[in-house]
Amino acid sequence: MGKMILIEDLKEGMVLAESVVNSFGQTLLNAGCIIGSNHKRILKTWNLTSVSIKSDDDEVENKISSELLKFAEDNLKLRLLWQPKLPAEIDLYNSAILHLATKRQVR
Amino acid sequence: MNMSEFDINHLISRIDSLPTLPTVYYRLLDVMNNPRSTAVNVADVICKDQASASKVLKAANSPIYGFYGKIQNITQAITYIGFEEVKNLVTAITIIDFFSDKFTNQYINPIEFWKHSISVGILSRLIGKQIKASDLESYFLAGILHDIGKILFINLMPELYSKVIQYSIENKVQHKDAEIKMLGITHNVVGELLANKWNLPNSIKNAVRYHESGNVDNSYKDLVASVHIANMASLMYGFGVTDEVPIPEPNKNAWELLQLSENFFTSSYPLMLSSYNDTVNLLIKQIQ
Repeated sequence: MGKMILIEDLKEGMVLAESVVNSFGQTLLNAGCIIGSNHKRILKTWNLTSVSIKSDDDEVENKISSELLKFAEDNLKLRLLWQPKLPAEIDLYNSAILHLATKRQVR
Repeated sequence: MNMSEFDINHLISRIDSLPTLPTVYYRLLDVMNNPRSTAVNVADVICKDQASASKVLKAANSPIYGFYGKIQNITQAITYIGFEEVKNLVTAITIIDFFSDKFTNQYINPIEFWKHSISVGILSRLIGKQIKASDLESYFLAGILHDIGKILFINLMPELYSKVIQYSIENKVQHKDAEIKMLGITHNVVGELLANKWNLPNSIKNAVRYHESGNVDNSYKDLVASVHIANMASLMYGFGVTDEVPIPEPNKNAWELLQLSENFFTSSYPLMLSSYNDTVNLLIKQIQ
């Protein structure tokens, strides 16, 4: 989860939380890209006004305890009437557990 | 009203007597269906209703469309995100406003209902984009309206529908099974009746009818499969649903049709969440 900031406020060394796409849907910069001296110019050329950057709040995501993840997983398992098997199902399952654990942590 | 008094014919006649959507909506359809209309003509109609216009503008700038605050007026919104997408935003806004009933109890809550619907709209659109759907503009609206039959039940008979939800939770069965047992008709069928009454597009009718089963044997199979998977995903993420709602197995045919990559959900998550939060703030603030 990133924080939206204006291009004017963007500084070198900041890290993009989400990929930046232009109006044709082409990716200009990938999530995780560290902003360098040239990047602001590229974003302005494409008339973009804001981007999502990683902030200290993102640390919350990294601090989810294994107990909380297990709690979220146990809760989800109780509701699922099936077992995830396909790769996409497993990906959804893992993403949902992380989301549920994060939500509980923030709460 | 209790179970024994429930009469499907009475329900259908009540759907028939529901009001049509506001005239601005139908005027918009007229202008859009006229091949000579320009973006300015359409913008003129939308701007007649300032509340809707401002929501359309904010929605067009939300992260899901990727223009990040660049769109400054309705004419630009039409140019950037397209006629159909703007029309569908107006439809979503109009219908959410139409059902702004605040009846809430332990089992039903319209705010949470719309939160779930919006998350399905966002997820459907992300899936539609991933599979490069040619009718991508329908995905957000189809997701938002997939459970329109449920909001109709909540609106027309809140007490009875609370019992349906209670039954579903206590017996760990899906809502549609509880509906058949207690009402003899599902939200999918009722939703389609309403979609017919309001002349919503066939793509939406199909999503309303088949989102639960994920039946991809119909003319809008990519859309139906996307809404089906988006619905399951939203239930798993817990958007606008309680911890007690049971989650049925997604239809294998839908997964097979969509061929989503094995990290689709993980990699879409940040955009999905920010779009969800933005859209919830925008579309349901007025009924909170």
